[in-house]
Amino acid sequence: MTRRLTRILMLALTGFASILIVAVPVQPGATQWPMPDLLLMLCCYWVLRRPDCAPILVLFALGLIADMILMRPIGIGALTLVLITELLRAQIRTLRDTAFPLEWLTVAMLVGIGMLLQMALLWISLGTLPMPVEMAQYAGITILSYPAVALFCGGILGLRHRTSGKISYSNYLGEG
Amino acid sequence: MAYTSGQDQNSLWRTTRQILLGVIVLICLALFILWRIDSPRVERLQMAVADAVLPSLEWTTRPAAKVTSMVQDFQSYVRVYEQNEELRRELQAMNGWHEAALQLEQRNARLRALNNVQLSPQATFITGEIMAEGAGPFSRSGLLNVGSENGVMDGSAALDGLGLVGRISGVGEETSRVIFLTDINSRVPVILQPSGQRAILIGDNTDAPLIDFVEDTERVQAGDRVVTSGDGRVLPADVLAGQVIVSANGRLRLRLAADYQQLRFVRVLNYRPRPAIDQPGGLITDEQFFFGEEPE
Repeated sequence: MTRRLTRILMLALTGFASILIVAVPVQPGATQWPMPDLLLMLCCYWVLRRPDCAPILVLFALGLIADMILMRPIGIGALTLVLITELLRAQIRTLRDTAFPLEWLTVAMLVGIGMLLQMALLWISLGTLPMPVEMAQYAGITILSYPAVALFCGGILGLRHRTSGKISYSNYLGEG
Repeated sequence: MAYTSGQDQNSLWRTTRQILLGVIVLICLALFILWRIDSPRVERLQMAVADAVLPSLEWTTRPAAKVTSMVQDFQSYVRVYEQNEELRRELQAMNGWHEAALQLEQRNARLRALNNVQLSPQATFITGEIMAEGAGPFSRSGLLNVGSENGVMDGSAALDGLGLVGRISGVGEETSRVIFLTDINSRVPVILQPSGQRAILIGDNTDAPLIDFVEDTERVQAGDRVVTSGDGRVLPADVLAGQVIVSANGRLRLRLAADYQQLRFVRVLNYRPRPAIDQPGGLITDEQFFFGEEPE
């Protein structure tokens, strides 16, 4: 139980750190390339590895904070984050045994759909839309950052798939 | 018994989860709609969060700024010779300007003495540092470390040393958010000089915002100065924004006077719009007060 709490706390801290990294003003005003949505990638990776240590409320809170600090349209960033992670959570049994490139492809597709969803919501509410090229750039750079996030979480935080030897009844219940 | 209760718990847990998910989705949508309808209120919430996060931003911004300046220093070190030449040339040009400025200053002082001018004491400014940026496709804006405690107000103009950078939108106690001219939501009323035409500056996430709603584009030339017009009483008038350039497809765009490449410190003008005079004075029309009394 304490182990699980530590993991959740770790997710909250890394998530917050990833928001701050994205918010760092490297060349404010003259940015050529948007920063990737590191938080989204982190949460995707985390949900696929430790679904029981990524409570939906924590994800939601992180998404909302990111929306507010990064000055994105409030609410829809958090919405995409929660929906994407829930979809991944539902597919966890199939994705557990797939190779990393396939997992990456799944995440990439979901990111693309998420961006489309954001555009659609803005369009419906008569907001100013960014150009599709920019959204594509943003989605692309976000997707490209997934292996880096995976390397960081897997290598430094030691977050990998649970090996079959470790599966116990309590784990099973936690994932159910 | 143990199995059934486990399964019961499981299905109960699943239902709770689904309800939770539904509630969260609803909250997100409600927040989004609220943001679209009544953004000042949500903005206040946003600035409260920014106020809370500011201390941790200090931790990330300082090292990042240090690294950036080191990289820039290194780049300038690499091309030190060219830069030296450039500086020499600039210095020569500056000497001329220096002389001109001195003469103008003296003349100004003389004229002011003749006139007994009182300069507006309201045009003060405060400088803040950009602590975070929102540089995604949805916004081009920055978070400054000055706020209402420092006298920053919603709608104030933000400048660097050279020209207009943007407008303050959202003020917290210790933070404020500046929307750059390049943001897709930025609209600024401007005047093109010397033709004196009014136009609107529209940000579109590129480095050169569009100049739109120009009455007669024939009279506009590349290189014309663009200054704010002060219409709408949000920004002060006559703040330099940049120069007109004509893009390949014939549309007018703005080359920003502000140096967005080196943007780190931003001045926020403390400007209160003057009360508008849109009625004849009460003195002539009807007698509202006697001479002994003060009006209102």
